[in-house]
Amino acid sequence: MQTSPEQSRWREQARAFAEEIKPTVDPLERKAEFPLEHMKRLGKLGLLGVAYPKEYGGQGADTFSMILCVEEITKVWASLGLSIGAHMLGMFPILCAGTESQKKKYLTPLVLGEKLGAFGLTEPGSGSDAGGGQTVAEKTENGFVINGKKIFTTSATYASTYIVSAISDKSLGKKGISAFIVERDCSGLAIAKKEQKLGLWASDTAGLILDSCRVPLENILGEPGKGFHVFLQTLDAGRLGIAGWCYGIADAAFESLLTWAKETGIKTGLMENYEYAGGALAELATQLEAAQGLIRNACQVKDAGQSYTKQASMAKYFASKVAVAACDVALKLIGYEALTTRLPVERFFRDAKLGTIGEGTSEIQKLVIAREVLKEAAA
Amino acid sequence: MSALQFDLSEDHVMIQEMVRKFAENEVAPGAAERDKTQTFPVEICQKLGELGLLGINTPQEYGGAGMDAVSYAIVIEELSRVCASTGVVVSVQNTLAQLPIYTFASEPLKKKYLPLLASGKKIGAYCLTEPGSGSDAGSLQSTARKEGDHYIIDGQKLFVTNGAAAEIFVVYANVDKTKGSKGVTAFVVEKNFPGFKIARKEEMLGVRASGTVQLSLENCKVPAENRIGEEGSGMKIALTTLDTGRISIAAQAVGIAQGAFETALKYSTSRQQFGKPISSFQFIQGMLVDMHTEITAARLLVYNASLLKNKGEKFTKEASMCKYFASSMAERATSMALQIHGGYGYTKDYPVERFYRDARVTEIYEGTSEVQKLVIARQLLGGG
Repeated sequence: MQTSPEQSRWREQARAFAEEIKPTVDPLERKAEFPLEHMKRLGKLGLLGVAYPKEYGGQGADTFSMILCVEEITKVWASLGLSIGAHMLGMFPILCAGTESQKKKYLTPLVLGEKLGAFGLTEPGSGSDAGGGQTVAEKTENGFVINGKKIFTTSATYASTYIVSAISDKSLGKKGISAFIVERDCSGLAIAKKEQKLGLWASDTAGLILDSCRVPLENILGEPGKGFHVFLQTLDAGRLGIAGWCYGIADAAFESLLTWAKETGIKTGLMENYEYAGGALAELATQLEAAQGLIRNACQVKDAGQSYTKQASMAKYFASKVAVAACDVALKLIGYEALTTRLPVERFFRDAKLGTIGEGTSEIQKLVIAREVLKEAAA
Repeated sequence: MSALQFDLSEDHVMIQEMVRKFAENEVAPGAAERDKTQTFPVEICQKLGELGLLGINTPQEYGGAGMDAVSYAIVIEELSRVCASTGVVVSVQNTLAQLPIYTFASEPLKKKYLPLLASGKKIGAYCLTEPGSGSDAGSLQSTARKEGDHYIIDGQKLFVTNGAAAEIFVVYANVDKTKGSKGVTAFVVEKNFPGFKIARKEEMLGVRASGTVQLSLENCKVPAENRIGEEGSGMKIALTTLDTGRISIAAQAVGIAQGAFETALKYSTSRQQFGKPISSFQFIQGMLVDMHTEITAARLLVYNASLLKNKGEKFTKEASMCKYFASSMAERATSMALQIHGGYGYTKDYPVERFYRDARVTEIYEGTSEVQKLVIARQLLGGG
């Protein structure tokens, strides 16, 4: 796929970093050790703020440049790619809804990787129904008191700045949801147990327990009651990140397959004698190109300042399918050896499935896409 | 939860109920832990042996239960429904380790080895796949050369299920490489024969409690009477064994899918979103419907192949068809089951992530789907 000189430059930089950290991936992933040092280094290299404004420490590049970086890093280590994605979820709400002083105070250290961000939306009883959360924020004279539980918060254990949704006015339904910046050392904030997962062992997934958690008045993000809107905007951006993450996994599986095809498949005659193998390779190559096209398109719509809800959901829905399919095909064609930990395919296979679930399941993406399509048709 | 429109006999229903109870009480509780720690189900095998479930098709005169092929499929499905590793372990013990012996071996070999295997006193395994020979089984590189009253076997064997716990191995090696696949010969090799060793334990995506290993045979000295059948009859033995083996893997795939389906069905009716159970949404219903329909179809294909086997007819095509369909069905079904669970499905708090991992190997071992397609096409078009 054609990229601009700026995009190529960012991709090269991310690729160089990914190559360098390659030897650390298996040991850290197997120990389920969070890549804290890697995140700090990514910040120093500017790779956490590629598409963020220069005034907040960012690099001022376009969105696709940033997604290309996510792709390159994910290709080597999906847990690190996801940690970057989660960090962006912590940054984006501040960029789009924060006051100038919130941006200076919270956004800049996140962009520079001095601190880690996280995003707490999902609750035990509210997953797909993201507006159905039970966490409440009660306004007092000198701040808000938040009570509730968040689950599946990526990087919760290591973050120090959390964006949390809570109901500030129950009578208003979804319009009563506000977004808050919660700091790690706020009294009443505790981190719940770390989840054991199918894949992404080194990525941290834990819950937030907000037990009379006290937040200063100025830490409300945007206007009261605009929280749900902020979260939806963040999910649009987050879905683009996840789409790039999925593409990275798909591309990694595809590369494993190509390596196998060159080394074993051709030698054993499997590639030339069996149309199945060639057919699967062709289908996958086409799907990868299509996924990248959808991702780039969504980035362009976003950078043009237009609504890209539909495009982001399409990119995420499709790329997550391609990621799962790519790992499937790689497992099948390479065969038994790909099921062992000697090849990275089994790890990517376990990691990939999150793509069809995180930041809105494929079913939710379809609802979003249908709603947008029908809205366009009615206009 | 029976979905069958298939006329199971009273005996079959009894076996199904018995094994289901056993699976739920004895196999399910430790399944997650065995998966995590890669622990072979030793005690379960002992109990299954006592119940006669490790020699289901083995003739009674050699300590087996002498039951029919449908009973066998039922046992494998019910065990796999709670623990896919146990399902494949039992399948290897029953079919891959014993069928070559009770179908092709000499009387003394049958008497010596079958009672040990059918009772579960010893675990058995099967060694066909090699580093350079997977789908193309006839190209295996292991050699056996006769020296006096022994054969000396040299070679490497890969992906030997049960290998970590087994003491009796059916090993394929070539006695005359100039003859190609017509030199392939089968032997019974004991773990304590000199020159036999476990080279490596595999860490795997799924069926992690199946004791899968790589073996190395170096100047391994095997008594000549441990040869199964004639020299050069190995490919015939292997292919005959794989016909039944494929029914087992299909039954395993059906069991895994059924386990995943039941978990998803239960979750979908208890999980509330947007003020109602998620089972009231069409997307979720559609997944449940697809799973249930495909599982039922796969099970009927398994029974169909098993019935043909019972009648003594050729069932090569039907075995490949049920294996091909059931394994790809299990992949789809476990994927949908995980999807229905959402974020919870991705965690180890629910068994569905294990089912998702376990299903994958059913498309690979005992012939990949591509190989099954070749077998089916050959049967359809002649030349088989």
